[in-house]
Amino acid sequence: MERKRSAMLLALPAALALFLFFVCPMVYILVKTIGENGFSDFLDFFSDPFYLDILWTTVRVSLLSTAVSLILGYPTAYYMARTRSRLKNVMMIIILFPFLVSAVVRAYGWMVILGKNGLLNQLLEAIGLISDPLEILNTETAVIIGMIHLLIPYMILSLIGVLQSIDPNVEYAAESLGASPFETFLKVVFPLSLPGIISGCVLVFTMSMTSYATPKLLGGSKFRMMATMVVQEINVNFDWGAASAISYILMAAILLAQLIIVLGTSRYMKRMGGGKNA
Amino acid sequence: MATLELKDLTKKFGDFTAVDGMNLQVEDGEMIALLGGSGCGKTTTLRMIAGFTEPFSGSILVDGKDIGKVPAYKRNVGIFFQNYALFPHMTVYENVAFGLKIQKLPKAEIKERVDHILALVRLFGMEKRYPRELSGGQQQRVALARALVTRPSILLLDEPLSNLDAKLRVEMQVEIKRIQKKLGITTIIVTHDHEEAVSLADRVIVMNAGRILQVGTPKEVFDHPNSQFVADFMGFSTFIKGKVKLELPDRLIVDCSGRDICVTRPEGREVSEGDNCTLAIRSENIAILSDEDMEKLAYDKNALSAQENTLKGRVESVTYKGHSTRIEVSGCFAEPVYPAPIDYTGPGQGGEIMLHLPADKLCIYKN
Repeated sequence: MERKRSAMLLALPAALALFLFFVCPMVYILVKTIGENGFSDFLDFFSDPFYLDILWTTVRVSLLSTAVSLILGYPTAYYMARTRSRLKNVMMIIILFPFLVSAVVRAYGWMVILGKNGLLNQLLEAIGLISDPLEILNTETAVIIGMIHLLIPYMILSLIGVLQSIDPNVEYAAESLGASPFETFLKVVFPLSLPGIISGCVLVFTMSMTSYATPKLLGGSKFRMMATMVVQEINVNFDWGAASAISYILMAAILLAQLIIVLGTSRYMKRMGGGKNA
Repeated sequence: MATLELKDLTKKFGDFTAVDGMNLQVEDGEMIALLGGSGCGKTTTLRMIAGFTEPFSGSILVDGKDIGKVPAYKRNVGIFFQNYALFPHMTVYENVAFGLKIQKLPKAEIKERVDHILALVRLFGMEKRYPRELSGGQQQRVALARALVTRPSILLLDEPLSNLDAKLRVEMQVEIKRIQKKLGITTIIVTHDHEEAVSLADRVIVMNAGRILQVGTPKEVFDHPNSQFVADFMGFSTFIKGKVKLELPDRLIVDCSGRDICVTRPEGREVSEGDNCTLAIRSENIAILSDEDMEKLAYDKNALSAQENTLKGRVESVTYKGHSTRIEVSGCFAEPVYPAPIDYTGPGQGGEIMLHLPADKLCIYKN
């Protein structure tokens, strides 16, 4: 008990900073919005197909980015967790490389590659696969590509940690009991890596839901996601009420998604001893 | 139930040869122990039999058929891991039933077989627990049950007793032997502990640097190691350098630091007059003589052979070890001698002591 109390003291500075600089302003914004306009800003959002479409686009882009990051990231993470190569550290640096460049710079990089006369179209035309350039830049596809590039390191890092903690002998044991490599993955590795999958997905989904620079730069002027819409309401429409309503709805959507993920997997997590002994 | 044969089995990791041309034949239902220090190739051999790693050359035959190209999951080889490697997200029941579920057996049969094997390892009533809720000994028995329930043709045990405390060790030793005999499964144990090897196995294979040094019954290997290295590994404590002075029909007289020591002549080992050699003896075989014993010896003409190997030395240190007392004695030879009597009441450090090395307990190795 004594020990728990002193541990709480250690958490106090960060908790205080979060409270002062995050919780207080958020509450202030909510109180001010409702105080000035009542719930009309929220009602407007849900009654306008234009806004609902933006919410759906945001969720769709985030779900796709998360799913593709997981599918692409998992094999990489598994390899990284199991390899004994001396180049492991070099590979780790390569995985972390995107972190060294800002999201804006990376988006410009993708513009060069995906543009109408970009590298990709030039290449495809040169080898004769297409005759007219593909429209990728300024579409949802470009946003998803940029988003995956931005967020896949988070997914891989979450997965490496948990995959490394799985005893390789457990996989050998499954094989010796007659399980094919695929069955071993399905019944042993996958369930044991679930905590990493969950944390990776929550991380990538959340960051994708709230991203601004990538959709702004790669999606073109007609492409809107929740975060870009908030900025548009403030800078273009000068409608602070709508902006704060959108922020709150975005936050609620993320919390709801996290709740669904956590509840949906709670049965598994419980088996793993609340994740403690996983 | 199967026979196992290793033919010229070799494994290399880069330039390093982990297993070097190993030949071995294991009979149906036999329990053998691969004994050796870390890096001797015993675990690599096990992993090759299980199919987790491919041999560089040579072959592995089960019932006469080469299984070299068969993937691990089709080999029907049960394996018990040193760290148990239980599935942490499954209950005891699910862990044990895993292999049977993979075989897609009917539920009723799975239940029957799991119940049966859990009763055999005395874990009945623990089905719903998770591995983390079990003690080390219980986890070990789950691992054993899991490896046995699929009725493997060969059972591999990797250091089965190393993680247990002394009391559980003895208990599990008995348990493993009982279950193995009852099911009659051809079994290979890998261990670095010579006591574990001799107490469990029908045959002991001593390995070093990827090669087999000695194959024999536990008694042969324990009492008559065929080389100084094996003797050292089997727990021989005292090694004395000497030179063979005289060859007699049944015995050898060896000159050790100027003293004549009499050794029973070993069968078929080539040590002859003039050879430099090393004598080895176990601590518990060195007798300590009291003054009374000495007096008796002086008058007893029949005890001549005993008198021959009787030496005076000085006690350098006395260490109480619980079940015995380890004594370091100098002054007998250039090398120290280490007797370990069960009840020691003799002189302490600096005192004089009389030792007797029985001729038939001394092993002799040519240098």
